[in-house]
Amino acid sequence: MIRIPVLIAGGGPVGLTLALCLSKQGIKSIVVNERTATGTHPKLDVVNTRSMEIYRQIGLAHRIRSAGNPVSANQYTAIAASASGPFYRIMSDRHFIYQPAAQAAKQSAACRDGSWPLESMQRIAQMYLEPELLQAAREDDNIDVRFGVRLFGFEQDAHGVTAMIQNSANGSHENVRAQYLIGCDGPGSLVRNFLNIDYDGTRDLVGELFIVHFQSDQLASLYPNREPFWHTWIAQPGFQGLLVSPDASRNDYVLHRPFAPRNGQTIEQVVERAIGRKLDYRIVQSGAWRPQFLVAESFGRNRTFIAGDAAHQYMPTGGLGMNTGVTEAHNLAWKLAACLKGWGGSKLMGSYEAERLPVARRNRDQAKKNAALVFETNFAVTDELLDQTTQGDACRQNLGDVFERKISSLYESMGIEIGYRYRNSPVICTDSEPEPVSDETVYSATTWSGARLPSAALKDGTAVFDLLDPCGFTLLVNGEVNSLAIEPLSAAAASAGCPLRIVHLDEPYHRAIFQRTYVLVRPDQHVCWRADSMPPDCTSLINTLCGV
Amino acid sequence: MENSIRQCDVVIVGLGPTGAMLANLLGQDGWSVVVLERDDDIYYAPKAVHFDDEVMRIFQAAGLSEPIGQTSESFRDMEFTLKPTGEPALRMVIGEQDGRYGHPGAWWFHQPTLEKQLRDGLNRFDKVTSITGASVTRIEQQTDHVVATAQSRDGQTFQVRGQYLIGCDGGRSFVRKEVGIKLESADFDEAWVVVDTKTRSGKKDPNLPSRHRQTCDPKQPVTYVPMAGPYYEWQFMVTDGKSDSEATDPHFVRQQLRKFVDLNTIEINRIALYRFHGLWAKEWRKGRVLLAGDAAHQMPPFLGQGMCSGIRDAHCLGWRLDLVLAGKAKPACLDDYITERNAHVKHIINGAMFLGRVIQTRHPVIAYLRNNFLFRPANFFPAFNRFFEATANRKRPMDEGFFGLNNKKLAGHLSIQPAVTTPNKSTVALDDLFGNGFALLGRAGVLNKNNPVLKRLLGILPIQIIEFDRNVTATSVADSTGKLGKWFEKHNADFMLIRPDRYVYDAGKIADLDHVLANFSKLFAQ
Repeated sequence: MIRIPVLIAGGGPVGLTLALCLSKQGIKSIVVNERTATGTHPKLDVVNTRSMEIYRQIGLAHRIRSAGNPVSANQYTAIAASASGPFYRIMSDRHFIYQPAAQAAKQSAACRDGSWPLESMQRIAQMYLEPELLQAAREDDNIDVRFGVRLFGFEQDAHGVTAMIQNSANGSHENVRAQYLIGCDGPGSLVRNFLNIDYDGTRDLVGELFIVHFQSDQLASLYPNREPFWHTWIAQPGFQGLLVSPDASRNDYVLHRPFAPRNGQTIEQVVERAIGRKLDYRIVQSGAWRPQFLVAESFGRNRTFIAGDAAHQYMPTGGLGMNTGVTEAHNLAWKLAACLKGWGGSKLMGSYEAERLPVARRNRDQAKKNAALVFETNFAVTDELLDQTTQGDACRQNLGDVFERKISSLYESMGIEIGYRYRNSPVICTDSEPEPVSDETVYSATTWSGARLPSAALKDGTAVFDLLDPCGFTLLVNGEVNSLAIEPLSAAAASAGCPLRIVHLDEPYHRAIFQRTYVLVRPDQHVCWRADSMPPDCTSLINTLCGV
Repeated sequence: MENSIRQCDVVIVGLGPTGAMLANLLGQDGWSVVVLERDDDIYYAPKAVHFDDEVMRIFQAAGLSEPIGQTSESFRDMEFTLKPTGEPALRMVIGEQDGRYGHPGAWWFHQPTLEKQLRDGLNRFDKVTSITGASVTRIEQQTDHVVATAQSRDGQTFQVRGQYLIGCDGGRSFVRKEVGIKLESADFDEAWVVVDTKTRSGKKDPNLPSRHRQTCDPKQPVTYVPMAGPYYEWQFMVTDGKSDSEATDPHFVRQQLRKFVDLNTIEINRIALYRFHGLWAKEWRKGRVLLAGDAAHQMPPFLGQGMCSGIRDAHCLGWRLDLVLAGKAKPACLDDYITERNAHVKHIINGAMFLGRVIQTRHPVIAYLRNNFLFRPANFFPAFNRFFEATANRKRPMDEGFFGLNNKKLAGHLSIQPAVTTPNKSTVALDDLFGNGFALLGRAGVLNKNNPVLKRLLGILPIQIIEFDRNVTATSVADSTGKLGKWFEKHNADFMLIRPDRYVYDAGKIADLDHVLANFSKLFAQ
């Protein structure tokens, strides 16, 4: 019998991220993964701003950036007849998200109103992200990664989970006794099914789409500085698609198409039409797939929870699949750690679903909305699109405008990425103010209780995020206060056994961003309480926050 | 580790229910035993689900019936339905429900719990050692001993030497293959998916059927088992040519389960594919190596006799090994173990296959005949209702084996176990007076303790002499229920000689004692 605090089923990006976040909390875990190696399909192509903030907290941001698109390379999105042009519109400087990561970082550091994420997004293919996470997990003494081993079944009781894991090759099995089991085991999740949790939503709403993964050393030459744009939306009369370059420094490309090649058509013909000319390329793999818009009706119970694709499946319009999962792993990790260390109360694990299920639904709706926007944009593709006439010019102009107006939503939705808020959470102190307006696209910096803390920096450039305690609460104190005033809160935290770090801020503009004298932040960088004075009963506050 | 050959009397390979049971029985007799078990842990989910009164009696013999009784649940009857929902077409009583063998006739249990209880039982014996995570890699026999070579999980090789080695290592038995014993197969091969669940509440669910059910729908045969505690199991025959992975796909399994249970009340613990076979070993013994349990036989589960057969093997073999190791019985008596158990197991396998073919037929015509000519009349005629017993009598008396010929009607039957009152006025189950040896049970005053054969036997064998009367006397127990008297009367007996496994060796009138004992003593050392 292997005894381990946390057993994680599934060694994809979400499972590995969970293990790494747990390790940051000092918690040991075992990750089992049925396949013997990481994937060889590019799949997802972006680690979004919020996920990059999370990877920064666990010390992996640099590592991920160096495995992905060079930080000096663009993250542009364009619409064109083909990769050979003509290009109708390029989205490059209308939002910092399209800027090379290095440049975006500078802009972010200069931001003084908290409106920008601390980290910009990173263009990277899943097949290059996963090995980095796997390697980091393997280097970590707190993580026991077992590939080629699957979760066979489990039984939970009041104190933990007894699971059986099985070697996929020879069938040998071992029992694992864990305090918690987390299923990050993908769309067909055994854990979700065994918990008898259904999806809400309609399956196979969109039918079958088609995807081609190919490699080409020559395709880059069609782009300025041999630096392919991140996304090139292909729009010709009678032919649409999306050509993705997950990483400008590599020769992998992905072509998304609304359907499989028709009778008499070859995959090569489809690829060549998207490229727009004959050049050398090699098709690596291709196939049909079914996008989904599904969210599990529950995220688990008692000692077993689910995260990532096990909990939701989205069409990748907006890149919200894995990225939602990363945030779930981050939300879970500190709560699991708090419960395992003894300061997390009985309501803490239940708050995972209370906080994350509404976000998963919101992101699903956003993916659905984005899919509709892509569909609508195709309506602007007219027969005259490629004509060298004024009417053709007008069509191209119009398509560019529609593209910027609609497709930009897939990329610029900061309100979705960093503007999600935990409402009605049992472990967040209800704010005294009504909730500020929430928008999918525009992120408005707020310390409203339940929101992600806005990012800011000290005079020397140190990010406030880097000062937060990743394993406990952090009290941000704005301006001069009598240190005795904080004493009751420190005492309450100490007696509850939960770590509390005090960070004094004195930059004049901080007050405007953080809005209150005291802002209490959780390990996951979310505000859980704020006020201009200490509460009369600090013990009761701490108890609420710890889920006691 | 080169010099460390462990010495013991008996090496048991496999610490499943059969191996653990045998180790308990041999431990009780004071033998040194080493059990080698490949897995580190008890399998986390149930495999067997039911045991009967005879098996409970064997637990009693090992001093374990109390804890096992506390975690198991006795039951009476089962139901046959034709569709997933609706009233049963037939309700049928299982086994003997009059308590004649001292226990309720049928029990549900939770196998991981039971296995833990059997293993805990071994802690009572200093001379019994279990080594888990040890895979046997080689078996070598000499004329007077057998050596097992095993590898522990850390790669260390070690050897264990004993006088006998018993392979209780399951269906894929290494021991069986290593000594070159082949399996014989009946023509039965069905794939079923077994789904184990537990209620979310962790308690029994009053909304689920309390009785075992066979849903006899030729389109989709299903077995339902309300196990002990919060555990419930459904078994689905694999139909429509589904592949193994399609049939065990959790999403598909849940679609099937939905017809039987509100999924919001349960969680799944296990989905496993089984191939139900009728198999038995062509031989059960090669020199000093013997087989027991699934290593020697596998059967479809329709009678709930898989584990029970292994436990019976252990009991049947345990007392013989005890006598052979002590030099009290000739080694040939081990062959009786094979004769007796082989016949019983084949009968059970045939019965289970017949039931599988009739009860869970996929053939619409057979299903029609079954519904109208078996289920329907069985509701009105008790004789039909007992057809289970006819096709598969789990208490079937022996045709061959170690028993006498004086009372042919009774010899080879399982003895009854009523409660009796002892001279110090306490009420006990009869077996508890017998201990682990033979018992000579007689009407008060009929047994001549100076009988020379008896005297000689008493010097060799563990034999309890027990006399009973209507009331307690200084030398006899009281047959307070009157059942012993009736039983003796029915079989026109003054005494009965009962084996350690509670089967009647022989019985007779007082004048028969000499020749019954003479015949009996042939097996034992002079």
